[in-house]
Amino acid sequence: MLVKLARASLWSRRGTAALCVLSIAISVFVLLSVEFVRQEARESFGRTLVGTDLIVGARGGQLNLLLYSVFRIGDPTNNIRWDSYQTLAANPAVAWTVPLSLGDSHRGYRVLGTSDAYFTHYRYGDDRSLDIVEGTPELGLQGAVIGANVAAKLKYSTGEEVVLAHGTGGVGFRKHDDHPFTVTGILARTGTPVDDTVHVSLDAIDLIHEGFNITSLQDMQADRTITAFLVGLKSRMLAFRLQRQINEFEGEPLQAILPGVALSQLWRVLASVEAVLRVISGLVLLSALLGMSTMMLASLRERRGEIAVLRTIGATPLFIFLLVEAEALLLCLLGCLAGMGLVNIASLASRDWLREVYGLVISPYVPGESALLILGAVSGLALFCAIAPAVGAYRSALGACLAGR
Amino acid sequence: MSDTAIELRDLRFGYRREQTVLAIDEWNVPAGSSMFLRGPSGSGKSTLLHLICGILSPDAGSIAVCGQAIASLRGHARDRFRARHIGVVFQQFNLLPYLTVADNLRLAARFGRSNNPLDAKELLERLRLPVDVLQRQAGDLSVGQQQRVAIARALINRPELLIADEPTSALDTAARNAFVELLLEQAGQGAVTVLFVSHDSTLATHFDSTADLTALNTAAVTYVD
Repeated sequence: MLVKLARASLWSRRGTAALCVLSIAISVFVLLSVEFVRQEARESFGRTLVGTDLIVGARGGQLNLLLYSVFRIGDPTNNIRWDSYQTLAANPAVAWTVPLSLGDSHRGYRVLGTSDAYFTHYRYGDDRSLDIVEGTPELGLQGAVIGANVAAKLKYSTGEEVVLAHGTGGVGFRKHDDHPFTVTGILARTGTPVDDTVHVSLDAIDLIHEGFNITSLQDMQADRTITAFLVGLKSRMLAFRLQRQINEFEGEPLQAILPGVALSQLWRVLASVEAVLRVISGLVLLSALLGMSTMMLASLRERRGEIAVLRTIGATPLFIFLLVEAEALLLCLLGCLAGMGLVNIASLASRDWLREVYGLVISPYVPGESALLILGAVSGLALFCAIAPAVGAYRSALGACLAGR
Repeated sequence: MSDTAIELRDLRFGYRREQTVLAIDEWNVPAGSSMFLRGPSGSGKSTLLHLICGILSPDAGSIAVCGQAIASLRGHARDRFRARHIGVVFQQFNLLPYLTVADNLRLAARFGRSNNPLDAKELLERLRLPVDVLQRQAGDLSVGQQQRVAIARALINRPELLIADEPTSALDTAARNAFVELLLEQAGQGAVTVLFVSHDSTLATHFDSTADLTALNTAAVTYVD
């Protein structure tokens, strides 16, 4: 009865009620979005690269190396000489290495020069390897293996000719059109930046940069440089020792990072930003609920007749109090539901954009346990904020209110 | 069941200390009768009705409604007693405008916890309202229709006492007499005591007895409500 009455009463004031719901929805949207993006970012970043024990690059920030080598965010500061790579790859502790060379692009998608080892050793998610859906993962001198998004967006299939551009802007200023590539393979969707990458061989990268006046591949490799390389160890226990060795490498200034450690450093950096965002969204929510409280207080005057009728037919002042609280709860629940709906829609709408710009792969928002927690907290806060109007109604119910005029 | 529907003894009430606005030494309304209480505004009319309904409590003296000393009941019990035993019709705004007529009547029955409420459809027919008003929003009815639904609402729990506070002032003269007759006719069917409060003396002829609040109330201070 209480809920039915609250519903009908709110419906009779649906204009102001809808505005209340909207403002609560927006604040819940902000609150949930912060939480959702945080979770999804961790999830997405955490599952992008697994099974790699060390990432080696030129000396610089740990985070920077992680971001450009794995997430294709930002640009490398310096390169690694090929002989340094070979020396380190020959270390007895090393099981496998995958060289990475970045710097070119194809119609806005990053081009990664690598070796065939990439397709055998790259692991993501729950230790899954890269699957090929079309063609073969063979790079050769002219082959290009493209990620699922590249294939889908540019509508490429195997056999297609592609031309690479120097630089990583949307449109490269210098095109390597004297050396076209042929798509030899298309990778299955992984939900990682691999989907947005064009893979070619290191030889091919050198070839297009040096032109065709190179006599032999051996000559070419002599002054080749790469951006970074992934290292798999024979035993995990050796990671710290090898890391130290690489950091003290005499040939050139290098650094090795443990992906997990670098990621946790990233989260530490972001934690304070998250905290600020959370406080702000909490304040936005509070102001929305205070707005609701104000609306309810303001409407008390015009509701005196309503309260009088209820009192006349035997409603206790407590019932009146609970009626106002029930209305607040209804508004808040509607607002929360709408807010969650908004997050869901926004997560679907911004998926492609987040992936392309930030390499962040998010799944559509589905309210989970944390949403329930937030819902509970928001409801509690709404009940608290409604105490003032509810007490007002209670007092109006206590007083001489049978006037009915 | 007591013989008197309302019995006041040495009643004193003031909204502020040292300022009595209502003082009635003795006043009875016999059970089953209809009483016309004349009182201009400011005579303490509303205050008296609040006291009889148990919304306000007297500073001194006693009020018995249908033999029940209403002031001695605790708040919750008083509200339940009012819901069950007293029906009230106001000048206007008797119904929740956003509920249907049926829901308005149902709500009153629920609060009265009556296990034997009158049949809403039959009641509306007796009040010469079309049956289809049941499903209409109370706020959409004409004032006259609303006032008649208000009688239905007041009678649905078979109360012993029906209080009408200026119920006709929003109606025109022709409708006024018809309304009073309808109200008394319906109350008479259930042997309900009627306390009808109005400043309009021309209506007094419909009732068994008449009282004047300005004569009853011996308080020196007049309270403007």
